[in-house]
Amino acid sequence: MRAQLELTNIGGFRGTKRFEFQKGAVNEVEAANATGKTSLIRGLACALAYPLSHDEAITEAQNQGLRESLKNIYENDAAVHLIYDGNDEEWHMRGDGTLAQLPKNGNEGFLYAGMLTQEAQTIRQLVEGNADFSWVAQRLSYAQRYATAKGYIDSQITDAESNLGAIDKRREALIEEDKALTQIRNERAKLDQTLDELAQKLDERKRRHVEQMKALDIEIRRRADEVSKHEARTHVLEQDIESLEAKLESNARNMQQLEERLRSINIEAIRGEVIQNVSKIDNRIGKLRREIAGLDGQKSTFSDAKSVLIQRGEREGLCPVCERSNVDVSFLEGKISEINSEVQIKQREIQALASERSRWLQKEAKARHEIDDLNQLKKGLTDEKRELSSTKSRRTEEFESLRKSLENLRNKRVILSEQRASLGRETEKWEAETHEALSNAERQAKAFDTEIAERTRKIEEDSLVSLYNRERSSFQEWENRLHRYRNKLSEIVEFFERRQHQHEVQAIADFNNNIRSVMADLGFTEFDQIAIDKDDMRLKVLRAGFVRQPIESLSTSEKYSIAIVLQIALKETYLPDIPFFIVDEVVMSYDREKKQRILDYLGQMAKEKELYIVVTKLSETAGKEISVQGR
Amino acid sequence: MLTDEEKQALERLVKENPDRRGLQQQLQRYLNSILDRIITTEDEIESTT
Repeated sequence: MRAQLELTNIGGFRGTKRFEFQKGAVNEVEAANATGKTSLIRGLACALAYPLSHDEAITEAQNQGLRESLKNIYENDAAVHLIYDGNDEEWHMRGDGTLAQLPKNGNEGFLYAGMLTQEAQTIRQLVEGNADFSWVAQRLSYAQRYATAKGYIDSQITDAESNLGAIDKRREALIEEDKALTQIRNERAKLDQTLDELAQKLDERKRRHVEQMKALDIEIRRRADEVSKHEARTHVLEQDIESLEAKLESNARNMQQLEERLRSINIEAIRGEVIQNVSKIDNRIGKLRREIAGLDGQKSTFSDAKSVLIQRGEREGLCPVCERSNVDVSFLEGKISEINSEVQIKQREIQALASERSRWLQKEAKARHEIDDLNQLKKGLTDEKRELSSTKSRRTEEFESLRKSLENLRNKRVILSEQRASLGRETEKWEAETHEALSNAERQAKAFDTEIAERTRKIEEDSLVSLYNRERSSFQEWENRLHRYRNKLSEIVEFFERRQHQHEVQAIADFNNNIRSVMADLGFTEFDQIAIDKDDMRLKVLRAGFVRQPIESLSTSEKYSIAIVLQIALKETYLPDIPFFIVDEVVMSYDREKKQRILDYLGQMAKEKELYIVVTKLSETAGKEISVQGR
Repeated sequence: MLTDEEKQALERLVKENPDRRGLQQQLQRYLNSILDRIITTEDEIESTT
């Protein structure tokens, strides 16, 4: 039975190359240097190792040149096609390095256990002197599955814990958010209070404004009344003063007339005239009275004479006056009557003269009276002038005082009006400011309400969580579930861990047994034991006498010898189901006998286990094309 | 502690899924069933209380 390998644009091959491998035989791939041995090995390994599911395997494939570098540098796509034992595997890489097709039955363990080249992990570690072979159990044994399972469960625990942490954080955030909401609500309440206070202040201010305005109006009206009264009084005073001035002018005129009149009365002249006329009258009256007295004497004489005549009964008698002639009673009576008439005339003249005298005397008295009267009048006028001046002065003083007072009142009224206007403006301004503040506060309150509603909605919404594509539930519910879930995951992890360890221990034991068996079969007697320590998973090399030798102190050929033992043991222990085993001749730089012994062993192994063992061989003929020969 | 049935189920999962992705998928399915059970049990407890 043969396996068919078809390589397209792999490594140094451009186009398609076909090879066949014989089952149960060692297939020697012989070629000169740089003619495709490595490309063939790598292409074959690709078909057997892919798909790669672990990161470590991908890194290992990279280390062994089984990734992008496998593609021919002149071509785009590269492909490997391997048909063996009823399997038909294809590996196809696009030009951009992505894999278009992968084998169905590959095993990434082939990278570690299926081939021994210079890039193999075993060789690399031995060359570097790195004794840590924990990967053997971890990546190749059945324990790997438990490790994978455990790793996955661990990642789920991490997820669960992360979810728990997220819930914690979210709860803390919600508590903070709730605090913030409470604070906003408090601020909202304060704002309400502020709104009430502002409204109260506004009302109070309005009330005070109204009161102040009323008080000012009353004061202004009072001042206006006072002004009116003052103006009326001022008007009266003006009229009074004008009247007083007119009176004073009249008084002055009267006084002037009086003075003129007084100056016009010459009392001395009047007196002289009166004295002269009275004297004349007195003289005349004296003369008349004397004449009357003379007449009275005559009359008496005649009366006596008559009486005598009568008494004597005589008819006539001697004239008593002339005493020469006789006169009768009638004569006497005529004489008496005549004298009476004359006396009467004299008396009437005296009376007239007395009247005239009296008139003359009265004239002086009258003049004097007039002077007295005029002086009296003058005094009266002077008094009146004084009185009028005094009154005018008082009125003027009062007028001035009133005028000033009126001016003050008008000024005060103006000030009060200004105060009223100012108060009005101030109140309007304050009212406008308060309204604006109220409006702002109301806007702020609305913003608060919106924010509160939004935050409340968000809190309610955020208090529910959805995890693992399941329904939204409360934090507490999910927290409880997650705790139970994590506990269950921890139990699973413990189980997998235990099982992994059991398998690792078993795998290492199996591996060590196989190493011992291979060493015995190959006749490697220079070492008493090569094994992996089950406790620390480090490679232990014991020379004769079971003396431990550090790996770094081994020679290169010893390292290669140990490598081939380990690689065969790895293949037998961990890769029994893949019927391929690849060995690069480069790692078999032993003496002819030892090399042959190994090749014989591999041939035996191929036959017994029906393997396709592929061994490269450097052609001694320069330029020899690659060929595969089964032996 | 895991029950014997649970242990057997896990063993079966590991055995039947040699590749990593398949194993992870099956494990996830198993974990989902655990989570479902936890939620169902919780609901049952709630409904009885």
